[in-house]
Amino acid sequence: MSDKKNVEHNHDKHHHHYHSLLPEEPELRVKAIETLLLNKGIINSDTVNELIDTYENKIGPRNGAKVVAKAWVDPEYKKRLLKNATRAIEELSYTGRQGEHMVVVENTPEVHNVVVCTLCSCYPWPVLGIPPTWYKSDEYRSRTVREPRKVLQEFGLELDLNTQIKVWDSTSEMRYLVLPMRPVGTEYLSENELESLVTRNSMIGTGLPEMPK
Amino acid sequence: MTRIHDMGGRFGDGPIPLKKIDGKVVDDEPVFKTDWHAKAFSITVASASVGKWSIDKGRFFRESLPPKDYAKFDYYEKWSSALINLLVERELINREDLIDITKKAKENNLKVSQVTDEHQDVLKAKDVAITLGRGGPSAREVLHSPKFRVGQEVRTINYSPNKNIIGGHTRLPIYARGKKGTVILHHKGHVLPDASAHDLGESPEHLYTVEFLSTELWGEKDGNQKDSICIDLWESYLI
Repeated sequence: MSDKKNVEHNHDKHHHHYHSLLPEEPELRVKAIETLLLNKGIINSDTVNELIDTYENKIGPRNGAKVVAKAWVDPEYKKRLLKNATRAIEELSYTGRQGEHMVVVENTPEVHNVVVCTLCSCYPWPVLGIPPTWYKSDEYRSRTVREPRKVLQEFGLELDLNTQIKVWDSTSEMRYLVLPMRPVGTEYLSENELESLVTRNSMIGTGLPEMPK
Repeated sequence: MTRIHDMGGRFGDGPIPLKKIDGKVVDDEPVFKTDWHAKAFSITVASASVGKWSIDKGRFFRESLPPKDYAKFDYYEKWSSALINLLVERELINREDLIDITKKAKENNLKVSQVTDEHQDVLKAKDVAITLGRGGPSAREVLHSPKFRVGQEVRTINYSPNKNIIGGHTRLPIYARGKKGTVILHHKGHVLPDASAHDLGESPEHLYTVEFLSTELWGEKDGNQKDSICIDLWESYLI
């Protein structure tokens, strides 16, 4: 067992089962880990609360909706967004963790884009926040690459057979945001009003923007 | 050999778990469905400041959970369990700590003590916004010129590309191995997860987005003629 590969193999056996020593019930398990880490000085309770507050109240899909609405009303911004999304999104001060390298993909009458992460749950946090449960589910991860039309039907989205579906499997640190088509009959709406039509699902590709009331 | 997380294209998972009212999708889920979800998330993010594992190593530890656990665990159970395994591997906690805290938990005796010696790298509340805003970019300079260009036809290798570790981390999904596609984007150099996940350095390589026809991946009968799947792939995954 002096071979490096075998050593690493053993590594695998030893280091991925410690969690089974902890209480099985998930709420108690997390409470035990939190207490242990606080007492060891590895985490700080103010930080724990600050992180929760950030993603519950500050970083979420309304950020992405602002990006989309701006692209709808400002053709120059849209050009910058499609050319270098990371920089264009940074203009609105959305940067950093899980959005370090952004790509915006544009829906057209010919192409409909939809984003998935089959290997884990990669998702553009600075513009969409923490992903919803369904995005992280085995069902969405396993099926979207193979039968996107059936998956989209479950979301209530029936696409024309002539429309090409492009599925983006987020396997790297590139993060994808869908730029949905601006709904027809919205020429008279302001950027703020347009923003309220942009749904989270329309920016993942599993929905369309709402129609104006 | 496969790992359980690599599930793209698998059959049998059933309908997407969506909330629907009168057949219409309702998107009103809270950010964290329970307090313990919120805690599992935040203690994992906070611990990384001290543990200093790469994002790739974090992913590798989640996908290395025993398949039976991976399949039955809720998303944040995977996070918290992988976190414990990472902390043990980093020698920040040990087996005795886990046995001791579990005993206390079962006796309903979990107490937070006054900590006098916080770890020097502990993430402070005042630094949260700046740390998240900075993130951890994976773009790196690669000195050699790219082997492939946009528009070029390529083929993926048909085995696990991790050269160093048997059963090691990789980001080439099984469903896309040995398949023919076209390079549609070139993202320049990025950290190679296959190395970074195992503390073997960053070994940056050119990264491309390759578009595969649905029929190439699933067969003429199964795939839709019109549709395609775009996957980000490192240079060493391609021939």
